[in-house]
Amino acid sequence: MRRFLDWYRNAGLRTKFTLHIIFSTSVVFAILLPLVLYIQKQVLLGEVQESGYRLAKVFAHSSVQAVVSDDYLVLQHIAYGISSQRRIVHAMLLTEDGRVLVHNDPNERGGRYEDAISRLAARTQEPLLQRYETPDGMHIYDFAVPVYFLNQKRASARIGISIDHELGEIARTRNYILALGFGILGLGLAWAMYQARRVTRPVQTLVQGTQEIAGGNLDHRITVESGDELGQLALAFNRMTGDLHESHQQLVVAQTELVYKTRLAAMGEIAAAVAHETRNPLGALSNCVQLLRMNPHLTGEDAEVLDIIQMETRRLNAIVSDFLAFGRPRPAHFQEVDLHELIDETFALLLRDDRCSTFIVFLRQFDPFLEKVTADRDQLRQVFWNLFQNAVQVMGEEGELGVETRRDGDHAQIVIRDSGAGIPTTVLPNIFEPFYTTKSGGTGLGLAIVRRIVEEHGGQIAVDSQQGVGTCFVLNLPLDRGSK
Amino acid sequence: MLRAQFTARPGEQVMARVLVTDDELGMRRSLAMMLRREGYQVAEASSVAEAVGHLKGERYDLIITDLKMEPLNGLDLLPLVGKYNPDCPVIIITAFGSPETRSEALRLGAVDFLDKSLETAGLLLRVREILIDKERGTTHGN
Repeated sequence: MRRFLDWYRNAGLRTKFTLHIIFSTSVVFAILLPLVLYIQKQVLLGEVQESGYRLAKVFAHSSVQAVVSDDYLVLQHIAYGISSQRRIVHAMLLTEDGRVLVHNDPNERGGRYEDAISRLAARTQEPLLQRYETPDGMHIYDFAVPVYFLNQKRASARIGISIDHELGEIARTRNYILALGFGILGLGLAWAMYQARRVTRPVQTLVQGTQEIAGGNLDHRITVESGDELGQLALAFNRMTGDLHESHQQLVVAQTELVYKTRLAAMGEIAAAVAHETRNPLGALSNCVQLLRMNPHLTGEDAEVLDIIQMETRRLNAIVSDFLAFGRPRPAHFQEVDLHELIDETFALLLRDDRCSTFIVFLRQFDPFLEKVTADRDQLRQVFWNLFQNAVQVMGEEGELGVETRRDGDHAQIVIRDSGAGIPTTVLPNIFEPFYTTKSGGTGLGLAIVRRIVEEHGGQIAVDSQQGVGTCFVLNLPLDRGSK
Repeated sequence: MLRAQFTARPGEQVMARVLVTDDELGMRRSLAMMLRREGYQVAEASSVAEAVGHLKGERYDLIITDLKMEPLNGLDLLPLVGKYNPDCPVIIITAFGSPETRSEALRLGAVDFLDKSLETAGLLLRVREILIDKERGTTHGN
C-alpha cells in the first residue's frame, strides 16, 4: 500500500486522472450492477412465482372433483389445458407416495417419481416452490399445491415453469449494463486523457519555459492563452521573466560600463605614468636641439639631422601629450561656449597646420539659432581638433570636410562629415577604444579622448561610415546642462 | 624673433643671476646652457638641499625649479627661498601639472607655474619679463 502511495505521488497527471476515472466508474458500476440485477430478478421471477402459484392452485382446485371421482379423462383434460399455457414444462398430479395420477404426457401416467424434488412435491402440505435445472440445462420453477378434499390431502398438483426466458432477460440486462459500464469507462478514460493533456500541456509549457529561462534564455516567453490559474501563472511568470530580463540587461550594461571604465582608468594610469616619465628627457632633447641649432658652423646635412631629431621629438611629444590627455585629463572647467566660434577657431588652427592639404574644402552649415552649450572650452576644442585632424588625414590630398550644427531636441547636434575612404565595418565598433589604431604612427588615443570628453559633458558620439563614400561623426551635447 | 628683441639691449640682462634646480640632469644642463646663451649667469642645483646651499652663499635674481623632486620638492623650496633670499622670484616648471598644484604653488609665493613644453621660448620670455619687472620694482602676477 505504501509502495502504491509512493508510486502515486510520483505519477504523472495523466496517470492520476486515468486512475481516478477507472476508480470512480468502477465504484458506480459495482453498486449499480448488482442493484439493478437484483431488482430485475425480483420483478421478473416474482411475476413467474405469482402466476405459477395461481396456476398450480387453479390446477389443484379444478382437479379436486375428478381426483375424488377418479375421473381420468377430466384430469387428463385439465392437465392438457394447464400445460398448454406458455412455458409450462409439465403439469401433473402426484399421490403422496409419488405415483403419477395424471400427466400432460400420457406416457408418464402410472409411473412413480422417486427423485428428491418429486418426493417433496408429493408430500407437501403447503404450496411449495422448488427450483432446479434439468440435465439439458433448462431452469425450472416447480410449484406444488396440495389437493384437499374434506380436509384430507388427496394429491399434489405440480406444475413446472421454465424461467429460462427471465434468466435470459436478466443476463441480457447484465450485459447491457456491463457494456454501458465499459463504454462509460472508455469515454471517461478518453475524457481523462483529453483533460489531462489540456491541463498538462500548459503545465509542460511552463516547465519547459522555466527550464529554458533557467538555461539563460531570458527572451523566452510562455504562451498559455487560458484565463484560468495556469494562464495567470504563465502571465505572472512572463512578467517575472520580463523583470528578470530587464534587470539582467541593466546588470550587463552596468557591468560592461564598469569593466570599460576600470580598463580605461587602468590604461590611463599606465599611459600617464609612461608619459610623465618621458616628458623630462623629451624636454631635455628638445633643448639640446635648440642649443645645437645656435651653432653657426653646422653644415647642411648636420642641420638636416637636427631637423629630423626635432621633428621626431615633436612627434614623440604629441604622443606623450595624447597619453597625458587620456590618462590624466584636466578637471573640466565649464563655461558658456559658442560652438560655432569654437569650430571656426579649430578650422583656423587646422588651416595653419602644414600637414593639411590646401586642396581640402571646408564646408560649414551652422544653425544660426543654436544656443551656446555649457562645456569646457579647451576640452571641446580638443574634440573638434582630433576629429578634424583625423578627417584631414584620411582624406589626404583632397576632399571635403563638412560641419553641420543643428538643434535636436534638448541637444546641440554637430555632424562632421568627411569624404575619406571610410572605415571598414569590422573596425567601426573599435575606433573609440583606447590604443586602437589603423594609422601607422597613431597612438590610437585621439578618438578615445574624444569619446571620454563627450561623455563627461553628458553627450554622446556616434559614427557611421561607408567605404568609398566617407565617414560621419554625430555629436550630441546637452543644451540645458547647468555648470558643474 | 623674441631673442633678437631682447638681446637688443644686452646691458640690461648681463649678469642677472639665475639658479636652476632640477634633479633631471639633461633638463637641468640643457636649460642652464640655454639661459647662459641668453646672457645670464646660471648656477645649477640637483636638489632642494643643494639649491639652499647656493642660496646661503649668494643672492639670485631668479630661481627656476622643477616641481617633482626627492626628497624635497619644488614647493618645499619656496619658504626656504623666502628665508635665505627674500624677494627672489621663483618659477616652478613641471612635466605635468594639475590646476591644484598650480594654485598651490602660486599661493606659496611662486611667481609662475609653467609646463615643461618643448618650446623653451615661452619660458625664456617669462624669465626676461620677470627680471625686467623685478628691476623696475613692480610686483609680479599673472
